Amino acid sequence: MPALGRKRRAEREDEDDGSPEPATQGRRRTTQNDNPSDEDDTGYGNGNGDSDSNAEQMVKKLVRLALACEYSRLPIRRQMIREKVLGSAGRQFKPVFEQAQLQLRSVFGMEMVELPEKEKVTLAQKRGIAAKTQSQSQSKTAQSYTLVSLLPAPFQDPAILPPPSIPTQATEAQYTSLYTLLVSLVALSGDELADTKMERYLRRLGLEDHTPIPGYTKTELLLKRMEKEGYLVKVREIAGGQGEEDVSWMVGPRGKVEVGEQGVRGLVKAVYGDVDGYAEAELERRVARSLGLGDAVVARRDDIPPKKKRGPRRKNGEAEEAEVESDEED
Amino acid sequence: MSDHGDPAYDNTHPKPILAAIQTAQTPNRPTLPEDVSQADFEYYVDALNTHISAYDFEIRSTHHQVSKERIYALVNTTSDALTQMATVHTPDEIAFVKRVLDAMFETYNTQVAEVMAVTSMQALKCARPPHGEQQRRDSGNQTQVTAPSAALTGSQAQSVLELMVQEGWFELSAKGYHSLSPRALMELHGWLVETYNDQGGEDSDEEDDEHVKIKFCAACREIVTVGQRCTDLGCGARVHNHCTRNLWRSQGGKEECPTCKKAWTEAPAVGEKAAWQGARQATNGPNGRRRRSPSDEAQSGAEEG
Repeated sequence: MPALGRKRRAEREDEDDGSPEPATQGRRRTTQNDNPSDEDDTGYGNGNGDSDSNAEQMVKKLVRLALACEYSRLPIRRQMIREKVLGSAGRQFKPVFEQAQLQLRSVFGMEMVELPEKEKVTLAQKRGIAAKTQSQSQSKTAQSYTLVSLLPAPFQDPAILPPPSIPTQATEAQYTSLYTLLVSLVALSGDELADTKMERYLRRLGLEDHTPIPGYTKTELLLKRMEKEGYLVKVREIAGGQGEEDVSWMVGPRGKVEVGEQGVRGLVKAVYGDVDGYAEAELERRVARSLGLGDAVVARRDDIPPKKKRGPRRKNGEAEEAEVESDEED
Repeated sequence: MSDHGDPAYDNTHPKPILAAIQTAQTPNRPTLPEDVSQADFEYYVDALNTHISAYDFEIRSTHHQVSKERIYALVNTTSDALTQMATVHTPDEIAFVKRVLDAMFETYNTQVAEVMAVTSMQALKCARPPHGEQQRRDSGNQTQVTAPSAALTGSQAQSVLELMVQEGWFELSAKGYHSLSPRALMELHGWLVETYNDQGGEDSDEEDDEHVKIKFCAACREIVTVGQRCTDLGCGARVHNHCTRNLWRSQGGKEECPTCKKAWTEAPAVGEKAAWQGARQATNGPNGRRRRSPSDEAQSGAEEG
């Protein structure tokens, strides 16, 4: 039997191992002390050449880290950045981060965007807030980021940017369409969709038990994945005298950033097809109202917020059957 | 890699993509795919490589082992802790894939038969880690110990295998052999050499002790997983089937081994042919009969099992 010892592998407990890739000696630095006072990051402390090349290395690592995280839809956590990129140079967070942003923008056409904190909605969570000091419960600095594409709209064409082959284009397209759809359903219900309603929608879509996504054929698994990746949030609230559980769904941080209002609008437009004139304005109004934006904000904004990076907002077979309606018509 | 049966996403050719990009840039003067030249494409590739090399990424190209088609792929030139997160597979699945690669490049890659491909059956035998593989022996600086990888069930292994083909890492031949795709060969180039050519005397008395596992084409210098070899089984000269003409031309028309000068006639096959055609006549073996080495015995024994 061939000796396997010569295949050097860097140990990794909490991450996935690479795709059939060499596991050469990892350049992972063991972290020493975590710098707790990130908030008062200064610029580069010393000006000698050594720290400059170190800084370059760190920026490069951060860029690679961001790309790798995006591949697996992992949020880029500040903690992760400190551990994997900065090591002992915790004070350099701000300059390294900013430099990495510049490079991500100019070379890759992307940038890191803060992921909103998960909102504390349940009573228990709110009580938790009151008990803790503010700095503990809701830090002013972002805790995690995600990559977002900066490519102008004309380039976001499936001919140029088809769904990435992760693992295959077809699978990725299916997954993208499903989470876009579910995020839209939740968003159009005022960002809170009771589980019973969610189940009803899923049944209409033929998704109540099984999904077509390989590896996530059970709906439960798919929803868990969407939660894990931050598209949806399942909220459990103990209500009523008997301590029953009210389960509802909200849009998760990644859902807000990646799909966002634009994604929802896009989906609705795709489903309704070409409408113009009065019908279009009417549709816009209804969408805005469902999204809780109020009548004042109906026209499409010109300051285009960061676009979703993955794939086109295309409808597929499933989406066409969706009825994106407000609650009264349910 | 095109998704089979999904025409909407056939983006395996650069011309339509570049045409779409240029059209998006200047919509008043749309570009048609036929307007895009090889030079345009190479210009893009060069420009990209200039910028991404700073991040250890590179667009490389290679020729398909059989079809000679030129394939380009974006590869990660270093593997590190950061990018090891970029995978859709679990560590156990990756461990299984590595065992399949071991099968391809060690078990079924012997001096007598350089198959470098495995059938599904042979691959599925790798579902369980071998006995006694507890902690990996780590060499050098890495002192951490990896947990032993869990066995995959037969159906898990089967689906990972299929995914490898769908994702474009493996290719499945008409006769049912899995081999590394051009993309995989590009990405894993360094790792293959480092892993399988570095015997360094760790092996005991394997007859493959001297056998260099990964060899390169005498003509184009790329890895050979399908091609021809010198009639002398002990000689390491290899060449792709589509490179032979260039090789002879570079030798002034002489069809002889570039290394040992023996006549290059009825050269034995490298690749899956070596498995089902058998190693052809060799200068140091009985005519037409396949020499059986211990690993061959194991191989056919396993197949009968």
